[in-house]
Amino acid sequence: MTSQNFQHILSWEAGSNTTVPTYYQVKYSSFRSGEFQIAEECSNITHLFCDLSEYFTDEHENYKAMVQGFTGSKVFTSSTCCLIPYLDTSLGPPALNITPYPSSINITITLPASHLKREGKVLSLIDIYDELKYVITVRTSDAQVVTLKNTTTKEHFATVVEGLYPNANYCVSVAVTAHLKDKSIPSTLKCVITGSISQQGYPAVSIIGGVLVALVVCVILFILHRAGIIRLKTKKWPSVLKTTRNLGYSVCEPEPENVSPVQVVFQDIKKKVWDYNYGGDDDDEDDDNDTGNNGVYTMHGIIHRYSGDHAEQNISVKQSMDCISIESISQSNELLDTDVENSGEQQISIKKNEDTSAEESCHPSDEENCSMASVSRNSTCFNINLNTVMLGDLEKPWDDTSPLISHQEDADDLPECGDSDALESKLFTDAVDVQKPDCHNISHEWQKSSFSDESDLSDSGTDQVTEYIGR
Amino acid sequence: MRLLHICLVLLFSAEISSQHCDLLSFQQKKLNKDSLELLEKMGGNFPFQCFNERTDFKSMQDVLKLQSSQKENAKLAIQNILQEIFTVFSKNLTQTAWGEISIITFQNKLHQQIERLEACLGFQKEKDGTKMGSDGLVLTKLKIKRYFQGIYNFLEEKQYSLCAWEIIRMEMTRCFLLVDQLTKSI
Repeated sequence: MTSQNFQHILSWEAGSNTTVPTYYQVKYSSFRSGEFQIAEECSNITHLFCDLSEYFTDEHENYKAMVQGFTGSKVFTSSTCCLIPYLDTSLGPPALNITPYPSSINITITLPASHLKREGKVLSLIDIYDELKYVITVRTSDAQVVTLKNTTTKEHFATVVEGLYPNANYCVSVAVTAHLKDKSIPSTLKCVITGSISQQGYPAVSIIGGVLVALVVCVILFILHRAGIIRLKTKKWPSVLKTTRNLGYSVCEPEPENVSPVQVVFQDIKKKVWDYNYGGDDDDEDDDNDTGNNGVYTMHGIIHRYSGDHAEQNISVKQSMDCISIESISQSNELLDTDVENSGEQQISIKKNEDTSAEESCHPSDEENCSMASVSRNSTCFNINLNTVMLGDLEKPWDDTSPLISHQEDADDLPECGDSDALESKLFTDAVDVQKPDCHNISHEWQKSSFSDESDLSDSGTDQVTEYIGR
Repeated sequence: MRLLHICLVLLFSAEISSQHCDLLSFQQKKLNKDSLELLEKMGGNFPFQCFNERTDFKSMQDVLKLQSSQKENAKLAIQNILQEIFTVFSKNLTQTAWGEISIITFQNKLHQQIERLEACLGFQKEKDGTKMGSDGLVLTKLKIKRYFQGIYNFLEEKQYSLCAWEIIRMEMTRCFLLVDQLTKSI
């Protein structure tokens, strides 16, 4: 008895005996019942086969069948046992549909129909087994075999076999089995040739992809440009802004921090000028010295105090005083031009040393160019008419102040480093404080010299001149 | 210290068994297939003369109807059935001409799966803490018991003859079909 997809066909051969049965009768029985039942479809038949599918209703039952051949009065019997349809039926062959691709083949598998009926309805293999195994066998042209195993729960399904060579011949066969027993009938071999790699497919895809990417990038850039994140360098600065930029560098701005260099300058000049002052005038030396010095000190003090009050204008005031001092020198004493020039140069050199960025061209001979020089130094510098400058004590009201250039001596008096109070101004650096003793020394020296001068003055005028000059 | 060791062993065994419980369905399917092969290899074709001695054992098909789709009930039913089959093949097999190796292999495989099922069932009992003795389950147990009792009686009646054993062998094959159906539920 052969069974395929729950189609159980009993086939027999005529007996070896010479007598051939005239008709046959098939009976079947199960382990449970034990009694043979006549297969009505196959009684009194002459053909040598019988389909018992409809009688084996219980797939789990153990069935037995027998054939009786009648020849006249003789009966030949042949039986077969045992068939459990669920176990012993062979499954397959499945129906295949192969679609070739360049490097793969797509296999569509359809399970065969079963002959098992339950309550008049034909059951499918999946209904009976729920899950089936299948094996795909791929044979290459060079006799290599590739096997793929998998399970399915569907009557109709597809699988893709990948990793194949193009333009190659492949033969495919699929077998379906149940879990419990590997009884199956494989499908016939179906051969197919895989396609060739077309040059059109890939470039088309790549071109489309590239175009899309470029579009996306452009869109993103456009959005960013609109948002202002990216600025194209096509916009130029307005002309007004350009000039403003340049002007910014040329505007004179006072630098209140540069205190110390200014201080140094004052001392030297004061000293020099003071010498010249005394060298210039012999008569009113004592008085002038006292008053002049006092005036100088006071003036200096005032100046400094002013600078203390107006911190921002400190340097500018001093620098202006530098300029003023030089001017006063030039105005008052022509004889001392060379010396003043020297002092001025000294002043310049000092200033140069201490102000690296400075290019002081505050030439004593050039009053009006002072402002220009100071401009280049980033410092304000303005011309002051010394005749209008008033001199006086801070304690006294302004009305009592005496003009700065009332006396030649006074005009010549340069602001020296001055009082210690002035030195103690907050705006002065430590370098300035260091100069304190110098100032005091100078003052002491001056005092000494003044006393000596007084002593000397008493001797002879001419001698004094030489002496002072020599000093 | 000893208590600690015992606790650790129990803990690890529980862990291991829990991992095995995931593979239980796969293992059961494999057992079903192997057992059928072994049963077929044990003897030859069914001798026709023994067919007349066949008996209608109270089929366990009702068990399939009775048992709910619950995993635990299916596992328990399978465990019971396997245990009984093991017992059957422990009976007097001298009159059969079956290969002893096949029988031993068959029994070993059964025993392995029974242990696994027991471990999984025991672990689940501890884990869930639910009662396993539902009405359906009790009935299933009874049916299985009755079925195998009929087999024991048959063998005893036939005095463990060859034909009796051949019939029993055939019946056990059918029994595994039932187990296979139950395996789908676990």
